[in-house]
Amino acid sequence: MSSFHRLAFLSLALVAGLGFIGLPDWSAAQTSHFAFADTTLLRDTLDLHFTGLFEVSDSLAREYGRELSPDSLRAHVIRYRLPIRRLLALSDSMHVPVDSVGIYIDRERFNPLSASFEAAGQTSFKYRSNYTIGQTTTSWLNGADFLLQRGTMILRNGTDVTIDRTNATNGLSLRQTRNSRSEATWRLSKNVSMGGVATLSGYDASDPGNVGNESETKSEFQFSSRSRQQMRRGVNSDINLLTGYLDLKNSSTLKRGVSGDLNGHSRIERGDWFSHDFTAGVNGNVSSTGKPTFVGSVGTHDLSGNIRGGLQLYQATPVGLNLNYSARHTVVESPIEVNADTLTGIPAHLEAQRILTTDASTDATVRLRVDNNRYLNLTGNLGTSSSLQGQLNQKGWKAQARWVSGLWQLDADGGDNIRLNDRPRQNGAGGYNDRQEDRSASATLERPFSRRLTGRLKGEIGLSQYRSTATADSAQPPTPRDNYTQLYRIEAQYVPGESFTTNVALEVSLRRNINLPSTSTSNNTDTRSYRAEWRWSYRLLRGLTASQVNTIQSDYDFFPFAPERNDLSIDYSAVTDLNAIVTPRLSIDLQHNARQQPHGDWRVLPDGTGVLLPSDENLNYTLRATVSWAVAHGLSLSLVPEYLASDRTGTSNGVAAPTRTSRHLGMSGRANLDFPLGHRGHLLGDISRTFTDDRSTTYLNGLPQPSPLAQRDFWTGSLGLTWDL
Amino acid sequence: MDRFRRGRPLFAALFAGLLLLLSGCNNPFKPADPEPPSGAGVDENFSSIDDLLNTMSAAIQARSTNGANAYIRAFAESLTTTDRAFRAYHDQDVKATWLRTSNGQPAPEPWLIGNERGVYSELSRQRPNDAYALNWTVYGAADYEVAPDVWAVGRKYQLYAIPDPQNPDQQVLIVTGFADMLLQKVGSRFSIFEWRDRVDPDYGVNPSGGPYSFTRIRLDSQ
Repeated sequence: MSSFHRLAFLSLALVAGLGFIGLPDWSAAQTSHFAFADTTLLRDTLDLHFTGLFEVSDSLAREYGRELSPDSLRAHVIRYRLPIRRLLALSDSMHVPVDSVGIYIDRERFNPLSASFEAAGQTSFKYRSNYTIGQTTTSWLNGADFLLQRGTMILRNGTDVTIDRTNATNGLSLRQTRNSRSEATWRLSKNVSMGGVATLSGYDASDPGNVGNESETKSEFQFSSRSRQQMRRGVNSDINLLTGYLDLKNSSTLKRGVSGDLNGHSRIERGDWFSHDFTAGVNGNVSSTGKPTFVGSVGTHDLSGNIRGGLQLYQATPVGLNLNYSARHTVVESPIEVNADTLTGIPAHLEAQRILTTDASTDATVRLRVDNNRYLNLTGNLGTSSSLQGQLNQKGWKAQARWVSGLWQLDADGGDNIRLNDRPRQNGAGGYNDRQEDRSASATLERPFSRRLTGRLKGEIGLSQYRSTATADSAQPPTPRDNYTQLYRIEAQYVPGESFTTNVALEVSLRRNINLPSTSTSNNTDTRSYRAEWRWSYRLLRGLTASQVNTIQSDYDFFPFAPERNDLSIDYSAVTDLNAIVTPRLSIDLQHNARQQPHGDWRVLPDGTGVLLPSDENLNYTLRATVSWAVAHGLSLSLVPEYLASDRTGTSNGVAAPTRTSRHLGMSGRANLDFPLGHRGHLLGDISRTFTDDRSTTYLNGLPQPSPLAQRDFWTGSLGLTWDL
Repeated sequence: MDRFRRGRPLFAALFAGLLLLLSGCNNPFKPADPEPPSGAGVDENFSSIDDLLNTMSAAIQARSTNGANAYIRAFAESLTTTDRAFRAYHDQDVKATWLRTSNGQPAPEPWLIGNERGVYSELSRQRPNDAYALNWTVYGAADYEVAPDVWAVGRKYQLYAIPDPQNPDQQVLIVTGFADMLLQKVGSRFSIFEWRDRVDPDYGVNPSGGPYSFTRIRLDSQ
C-alpha cells in the first residue's frame, strides 16, 4: 500500500474519531444506519408487521456473534406467524436463539414433561399425499401422522413413503424411500418419563446405469427416558437416554448390535449477572459388522462424545463477558478386507479400521457497552482439530465497535485470524504444512445532512497471507502468495418526497494477487476497479412504480511483471423495472436489462495516459414480464414471457467480427392452489407449463455455423393433500 | 446521559490508543515483496494458440530453469476461486499399465499444476546430453471456440532428441501422443486448462525403450 493510501485510511479513522469525540447534541440524533436498507422488504401480505426488523436483526447478530439477516428473521416471523416482539419474548424465556424458537416449540409439543402437555387428552390422525412432477422426474409422497394421548400416556407415529422416478437417456431410475418412527411414552412423575421408540427406515433404488440394485434397511428399537431436575431456583437440568437394538443392512455393510445415546443439558442463573449453559452427550454402538460380499464379521465400536457450553457475565451492565466453548471426540470403526497371508497361513478376514476425529474450540468476548449505538466488542478465539486430513490449529481476534455522536455514526471492525495446517502425505497428496493469516479492517461513517440527504463513507482493507513448507520429498505444496484488498466507497441518498428516492455511489477498489516465488510471479495481477452507481425509484401513480439501477464499472488488470498482458474490462449495465398493481388482484412487473461489456488490452502510453485495444465485446439484453392474477381466494395464475438476446464480437487482425449470437424466447404459465377442503382437508399445490426456444450461431473464420433450434416444452408441478380424521 | 459522559473518555482513550498502535507499528496490511520473474531467456508469447504451443516447444528445448518456468506458465493456474485450474487426464491404458508396476504408488488424476511442475525435469532426464525439438501437428477438426474464450484444440505432439546438432536429421523420437486440450483466453493470454492425453497407436501403450506418451512421463515424474 502506498504511503498516500495508508495516510488516507488513517485520516479517515482519525476524522471519524474526532467527530464522535467533539460533536455535541448526541441525544437529539436519530440513527441513520438503516437509511440505505431495502425498504421494499417491508411490503407484507400476511398481516404481520416488520417494524424494527433491521434494527432487531442487527442487534441479534451482534448478540450471537454471527449473521442473522433481516431476510432470515422475516422468514421466521412468517413461518411461525409470530410477531417480532413475541418471537423475542419467547427467545428470552426459552433461553434459545431467535432462529431456534420455532424448532424448540415443535419439539416441545410432544414432550410429556413440558408444561403445555394437555391433561384432557387428544387424538388425531393426519394423512398427507404430495405429487410433484418435474421435467424428467416425478415424486410421490404418502404419509400419515397418528397421535393418541390419554392421561400420562402419549402414543404417536409418523410414517412416510416416497417414490421417485427419474427418466434419463439410459432408462428409468426408481427409488423408494420409507421412514417410520413410533414412540410410546408414559410420564411416571412430574419430572420423569419412560417409553420406547421404534425407528424403521430403508430404501430401494434401481438405476439402469448400475449393475445391481441398491437397497438398505435399518431398524432401531430403543428404550427412552427423559428426566428433568430443578435443584434449586435458577439451577435446572434435563437428562435424556435412548438405548436399544440396531440392525443395518445395505450393499456395503451388515451391522447388528446395541446402540445408545445419553445427553443432558443444564442451566445455572444468578440474577441478571450470571448464566451458564452446559450441554453434554455421548452416543455410539457396539456391533458386529460385516460385508455382504464376505463371510464373517468383526466387532466394531463407534463412539462420539461432545460438550458445549456458554457463560454470560454481566450482560446488562456496561462491561460484560461472553465465553463459549465446545469439544468433540469421535471414533468410527468400519470393516476392511484383509487378504489371506500364504506365509503365515492366516486366511482372508475382516479387520476394523478406526478413524479418529477430534476438535475443540473456544471464544471469549468482552463487551464494553453504553447502549445499542455506543459499544465495543473484543473477541479472541482458539481452536484445534485433527482428522485423517491432518491437524489444524487456529487462533484469532476481532474487534467491533459502533459509536453514534450527534448526527455522526461510525461503525468499525477489524480482526486477525491465523490457521496452521499440518497435512500428512497420503494418496499422492499433502505432505506439507501451511499457514494462512487473514487480517481485515473496515470503517463506515454515516451522517444525515438534512431530512432528505444522507451521506456514507466506507473504507476497507484486508490482507491474506498463505505460506507452505514441504515436509515430504515428493510433495508439491501450493504457491506461497499474498492477497491484498482495499476499497473506498462514497454514497449519498436523496429522498425529496415519498414518491421519489435516488442514490448515487462511487467505489474505488484494488485487489492484488501476489505470488512470491519467481516461477509464478509473472501471473501476479493488480486489479484496480472503479464503479459508479445511480439508483432511483419513482412512484408515477398510485400502484405504478418505476425504478432503475445504472452502473458503470471498469476493471484494470495490471500485470506488474508482464505489462504487455495488461487488460481492461468495462461493464455498462442498466436495469429498469416497472411495477404496476392494476387492481388488488392483478399486478404486472416488467423488467428490462441491458448490458454491454467491452474488453481488450490496455496499453500505457509514454505520456502516462492509456489506451484500450478492443479485443471482444458482449452485448446482452433481457426483457421479462411477470403477470400475476389472484383469481379467487386460494387460486392464483401467473404468466412469465421473456426474451434474451446475446451478441459477442471479437477482433481478428484489427477487424471486429461476430463470434457468437444467441437468442432465447421463453414463456411459462403457472397456477397456484391453496384452499381448504371442508373442515378437515387442505389442498396445496401448483402446476406450470414452460415453453422455450433457443438458437445460437457461432462464427468460424467469419462464417456462421448455426446450431439447430432447441425447443423445450414441459410441465412441472406439485399437488399436496392433507386430511385430518 | 451521565453514564455516557462517564464512558466517553474511556472510548476516546481506547480509540486514540488504537490509532497510536496502528501508526507506530509496521503496517500490518503490507504484503510481501515478490521475487522478480525468472523467465528471461525464453521468448514467452501466449497471445495465440500457436504462439503458446511454440513457447512450450522453446521452453522444453531450452532445458533450463527459465525454460521450466516458461513451460509451467503455459498452464492455467487458479489464483482465485473464479479462475480455471489446469487439469490433465491420463490415457487409461497407460495408467493401468503403469499402476501394475508402480509398487503401490498412486496415479493422481486429475493431474494438477502442482503435479505438472515435475514434468519438465522428467522430460529433461530422458536424454540429458541431447538437444530437444518438440513438434505440434494439428489433427482432427480445426481449433474451435466451444464457449466464449474457450477453445478446443487437438494436437499430436512429438519430442525428438538430437544427439548431434550438426546432423539434425539423425533425431530420435522419445515422446509422442495425442493431446485433446481446452485452452482459455483471459485478456490477451491463452493458457491450457484441460489436457486429455491419448497414446500414439503407432507405438502402443508400453513400448520397450520408448517413445512414451505424456501420461507415462507425468506418472514417472512423481
